[in-house]
Amino acid sequence: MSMEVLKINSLDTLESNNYKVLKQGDVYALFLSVSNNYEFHVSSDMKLSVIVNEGINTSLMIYVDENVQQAYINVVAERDSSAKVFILNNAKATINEEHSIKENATLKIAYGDLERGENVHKTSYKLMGENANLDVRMAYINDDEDKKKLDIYVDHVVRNTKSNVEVYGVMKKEAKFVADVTSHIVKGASGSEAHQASRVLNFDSNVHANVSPILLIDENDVQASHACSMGTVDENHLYYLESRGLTPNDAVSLIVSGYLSVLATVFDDEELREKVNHIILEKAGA
Amino acid sequence: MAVLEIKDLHVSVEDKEILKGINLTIEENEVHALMGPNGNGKSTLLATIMGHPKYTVTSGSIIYKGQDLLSMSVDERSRAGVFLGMQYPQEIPGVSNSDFLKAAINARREKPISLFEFFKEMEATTKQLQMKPDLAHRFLNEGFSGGEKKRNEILQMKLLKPTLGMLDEIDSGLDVDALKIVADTIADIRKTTTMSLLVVSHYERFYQLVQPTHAHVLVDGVILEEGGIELVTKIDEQGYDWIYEKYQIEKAKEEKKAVVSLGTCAAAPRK
Repeated sequence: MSMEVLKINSLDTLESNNYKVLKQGDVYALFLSVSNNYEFHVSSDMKLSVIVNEGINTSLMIYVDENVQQAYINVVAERDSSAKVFILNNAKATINEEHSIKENATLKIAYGDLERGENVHKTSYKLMGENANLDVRMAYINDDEDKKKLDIYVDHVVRNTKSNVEVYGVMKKEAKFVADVTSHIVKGASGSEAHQASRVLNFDSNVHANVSPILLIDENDVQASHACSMGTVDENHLYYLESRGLTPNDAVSLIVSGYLSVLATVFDDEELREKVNHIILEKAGA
Repeated sequence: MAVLEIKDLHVSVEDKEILKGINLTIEENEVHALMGPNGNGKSTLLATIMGHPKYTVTSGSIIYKGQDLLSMSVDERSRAGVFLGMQYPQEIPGVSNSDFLKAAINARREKPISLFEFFKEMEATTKQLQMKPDLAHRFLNEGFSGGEKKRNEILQMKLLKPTLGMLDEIDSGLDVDALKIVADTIADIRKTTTMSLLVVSHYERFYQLVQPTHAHVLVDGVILEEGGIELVTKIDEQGYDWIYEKYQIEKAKEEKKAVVSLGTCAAAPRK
């Protein structure tokens, strides 16, 4: 079932029936008080907080526009809320993310960096209330001479919190990609679960990818896991697709978009899933 | 003009010669049965016509509708109307069947197919092949049973409307009913097009359903016997031994597949 997507044309429109914006200089706070699907652009360098109010169930598409140099995005999932978020970094921007998840709240968040360039992306998640639940999917397409650095830090502050972090990288030509993924279960956060999985698909032998999974565990009675795999694209897959008339280029983009289609699964809504998959398919071309 | 004209084709894999001088001509509307014992080059011939990079043509020529097929890439051959229904179709996770089929159809059209037209045709064909209706949304061949994969190959052939359809043991993994459904779909394609077929199968039952106009027996990289459907029947009844005797050749030993003792089996390995 699809719900209509509400476009927030400008964050400078301060109020509607569904949301409220507080603004001071380049600091914006967006309060979402009605369960809805929202879509908006981060169109200038700003510090943005999105507060998903208690008990609200919402889906967000956030586009970081091309001209942005630096952005800070913070999502707060208040008690008993559910937030599903897709952030598309269309900029070559340095992005800092900082998110917090309160008691009984769920944050499912996908991030796509599918553009050419050099950047650093730092993101941290704080599971602050019991039964807080986090699901992260990150996708990178790194091509030409791209240099991208990703830092993820997941902090389990209280007990019975769960996190799952998945990183997907597509590497072409001479691209470089370094990702550090850290999950930390602090003393006292018993009954918590921290899982990580990273997959990197290499198209050329000159790429450089380095993914470090780090689990910091200071408590007993927890579950933690990490998996990491790197591989090349299967020649037989390419042959099969080409034998049906797809050019090598089209075959690669179909395989890449299939590989990254996992981003769309943060949403339950069919229309939003379609949107995400459409974006990926457009960017996946060689 | 012949659809396909192969002359003195020699093909190697990793410096080992598999095909040692194949000559074969296929005209419009003809159905050619390609038979022969395992490991004698049938699949190699089909994969070479399709352009699999593993196979190196060392001499000879393949002319397809007047064009030099060997100078064309795999995707160019496909768009020119060559189709290979594979023995082991690939499973590609993440790629949905409908996205794949749409891309394949659009690759041979100037204007992309409309979604309505696509789903109408897809629905009709899945129904004809008695496949599950959720097929479009599933990942390409992933988790498909052997029979479903083979039907999916035929579905692609139907949607892509090739001039030359090649089927590599498309009947293996199909039960009797599915075999009939697949054969009916092939008959249906032939009714509306001039498609020629080159079919590899070990089973007379399938050949009876597709009714070859020509039959060839490939042994040790060359075509030794040629005829019509009566040759298919003869091989079904008598096997290949008479051919080995007639041409005074020894059976190729399957060197790599030596019998391995499982330790607990009491049966003596057959010689």
